[in-house]
Amino acid sequence: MTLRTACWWTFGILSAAFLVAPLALVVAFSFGENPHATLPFGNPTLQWYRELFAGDDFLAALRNSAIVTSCVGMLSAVLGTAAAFGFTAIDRKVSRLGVQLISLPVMLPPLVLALALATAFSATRIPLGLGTVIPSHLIFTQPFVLLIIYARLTSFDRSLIDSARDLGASSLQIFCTITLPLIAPSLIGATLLAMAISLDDFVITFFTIGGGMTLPTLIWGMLRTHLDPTINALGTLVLVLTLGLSVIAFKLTRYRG
Amino acid sequence: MLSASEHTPLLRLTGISKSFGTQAALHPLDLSVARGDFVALLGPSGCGKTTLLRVIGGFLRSDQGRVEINGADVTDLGPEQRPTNMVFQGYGLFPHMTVRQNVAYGLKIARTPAEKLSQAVGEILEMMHISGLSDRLPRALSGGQQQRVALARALVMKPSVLLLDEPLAALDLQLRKSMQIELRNLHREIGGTFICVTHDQGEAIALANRVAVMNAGRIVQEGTPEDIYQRPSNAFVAGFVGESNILSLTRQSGSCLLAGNIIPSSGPDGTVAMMIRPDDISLVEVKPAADISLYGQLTDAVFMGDHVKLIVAAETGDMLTVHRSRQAWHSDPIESGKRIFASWSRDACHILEQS
Repeated sequence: MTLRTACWWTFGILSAAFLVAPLALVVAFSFGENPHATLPFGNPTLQWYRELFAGDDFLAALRNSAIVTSCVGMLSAVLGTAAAFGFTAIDRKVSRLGVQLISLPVMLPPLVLALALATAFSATRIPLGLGTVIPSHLIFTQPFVLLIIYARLTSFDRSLIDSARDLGASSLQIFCTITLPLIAPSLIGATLLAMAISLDDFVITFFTIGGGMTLPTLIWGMLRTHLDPTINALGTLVLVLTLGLSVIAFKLTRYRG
Repeated sequence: MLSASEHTPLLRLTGISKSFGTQAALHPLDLSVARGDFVALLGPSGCGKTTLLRVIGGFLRSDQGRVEINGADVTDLGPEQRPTNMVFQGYGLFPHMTVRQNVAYGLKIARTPAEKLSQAVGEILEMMHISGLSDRLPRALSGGQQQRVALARALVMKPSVLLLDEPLAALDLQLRKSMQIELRNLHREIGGTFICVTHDQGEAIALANRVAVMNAGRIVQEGTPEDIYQRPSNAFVAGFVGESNILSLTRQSGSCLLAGNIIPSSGPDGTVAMMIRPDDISLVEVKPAADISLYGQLTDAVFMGDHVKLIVAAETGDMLTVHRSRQAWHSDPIESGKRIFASWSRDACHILEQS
């Protein structure tokens, strides 16, 4: 190995360490006895997880996160797929414009989007709660489903649909027996991705939830009052859930980059 | 006594036309197909043959005209409602279904009782010699096997008309030849009506009992393969079907003159084309009295496997292609550069009106 490549390797490893170290620390502290989140970690323990699960706040936040994430996942799957089918059926130029328009919220800074949503809800006197969090999340999760399914459909072999029609299948039968099974991996992956994005969103949830809590807003609340390793336990939990969903999603959609 | 249905054609197209934007893909055309026919729609790419097939199958709506099958007007019906089935060029096999599931798909959609379904599927798999592959997915099959599955999937529906879109185009030469024979046998065995699109004139002649030659959105000639080959109606058909020599002549008051040969031909004065098949020409050293002959020089002899292709530069400036069997060539070769007469009988001349 030349000096040059050695330098690049060192730089790469240091960068990776810088990125991963905080996460590794959170995970490590959540399993250590030391209550001040300082080194040394202390003996391994599950004490913080026990305390976390004993708290009412956590269970309420977990319940809310579960409701929001699953609703957002399902709704963005249905809406994104419907939109993708619609866009593949119309003129290419129009559909490209439409897809870009729908994807716009992903490009916006979350804070601006959150502020806009909060303003809109208060102006129309819609009471804040999970009922406002779910549609707000849909605005920036659904484009991911749309883009993934749209890409899958544009490479879909038309002769399969022609063959099924030729063999007597109706549009609904073709969708259920041919199209859906073939796009299923992309669809499941896209849905999981939408769920992962929804699960760890803080900014938009914070502005649109009103009184309640989800897991990310609970972390924020806990940070303000006390800094003990139950936060680390909670952080680890959210990390595992989000990473798990994303890993499965990327595997299924073969999405790279 | 014949029943009424045997008098009316199984498929009748009247005044079918189709345009894509400003591009006319099909000019108004008529076609009748009798029960049991194997029809080849033959033509170069872009001639409208696949468009015509898709109109027959119901995948494209014609701008004008009627499509009748078994005497019933199906013009406004989609493919799912027509008694036709198609074998697609890329086969269109469902990649997530096994061979058996692919073949059973149409019957399942039609809610065929399970027992009847599995019997019908079993029979057709047997007939196409793919019983052993029934649990495989399409991607685990060779091109020839996929072709059989696609055929089985269409035939199990017992279509009134089986449509084949370039069915053998994706196969290599060896396989294509053996599938041609098999398709012929299949047609004979089940006695159905097949319509096949192809750009390969050899394939059309080998498969079909009727050939419709298409060019630029029109059917330019329709007839038996022999008709098409022996009596092409114009220069396009002569040039497209089989190898041919086409000489340009001027007709004046009922006869054409070709380097001293007088060929009677009725019709208006003007330029006409004369077509002679390469295997109708013989090369001789002495000018024959009765036949038509052109003096020329042998410029090249190309070994083609089963025959030898000879190129003769004629005195008129035309290059003539002459075919000789391998045996004839070996027993009596002619050296390149030799001056000889290319001659053919008057029956072998076909005068084609310039269209």
